[in-house]
Amino acid sequence: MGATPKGFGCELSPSIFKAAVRGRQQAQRVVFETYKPAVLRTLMGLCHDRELARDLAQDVFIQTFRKMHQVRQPQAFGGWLKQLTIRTALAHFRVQQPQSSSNLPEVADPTWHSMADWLTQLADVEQLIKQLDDHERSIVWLYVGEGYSHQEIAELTHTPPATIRQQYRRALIKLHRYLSEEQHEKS
Amino acid sequence: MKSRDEQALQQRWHKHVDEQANTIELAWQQIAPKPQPISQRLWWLATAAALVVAVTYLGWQQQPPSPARSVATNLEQPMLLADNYRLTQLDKQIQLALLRGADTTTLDSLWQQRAQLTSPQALQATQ
Repeated sequence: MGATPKGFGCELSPSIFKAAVRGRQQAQRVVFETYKPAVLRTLMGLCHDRELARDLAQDVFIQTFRKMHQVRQPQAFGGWLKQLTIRTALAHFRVQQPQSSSNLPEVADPTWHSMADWLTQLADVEQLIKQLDDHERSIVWLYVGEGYSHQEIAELTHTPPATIRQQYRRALIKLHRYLSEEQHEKS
Repeated sequence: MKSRDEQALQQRWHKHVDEQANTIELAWQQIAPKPQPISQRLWWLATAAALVVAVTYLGWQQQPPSPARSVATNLEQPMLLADNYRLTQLDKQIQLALLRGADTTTLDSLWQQRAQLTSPQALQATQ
């Protein structure tokens, strides 16, 4: 049914797009099936919780079919949906855990001491990701997983770019600390 | 430019997310709006038909048709039920085409037919 799912870059036929905008359920189903893997993947990266990712994906698609008339060009739909997906997750985190302060003390750059090899061999990456809280995980995933710049993440989260850079560095320090402890225990 | 460590983290995290996301079950039925029961749809159709008849009758009673006015009046009137039937049939065709993975040309052609059917000229021609 339609194009093979390849992330948010999938192109929709203009007819299917128009039909979906007009509320045609079968066309909406094509949209859903095409973008479901990308939406779930991004939400899984942001939430690190399968149940929550599924619930938020439901919310994303319900919003999509209510608001997709705002997208003028079918080619722009993938990018628009990605933004909607990320914003939905970030809004959820804001409600659950409001940010404490944007004036954090400056921290030194993390020194990873060539953790790449250790990261590659790490058996339990889940435990590593769990070291981060929702906000930290969102920032690291958006930067490392989705390829956003610190500036773009700052715009998405309505936070100054300097704060985002600082929070990103702090998150890396946490990961580094965990990896060091793991390395120390194993060796 | 990401460091070697960041690239390693990226690789591991991507793999983990892919594995997890593939196991999440989310069906279309959980998203799709509930279809209206047939009795409710019939009720709406009957109401719409009654309204069309009432509006047409009142219009005919209050304003005797004149050649100069008839064209504009026709454009403002709702479509006849026969046209609604054709439109519904065409909508079903479009949905079937989508389900069967029809190509863009076929779908565009169906949409063009629909646009022609709902155009003011088409409405005028049928009355």
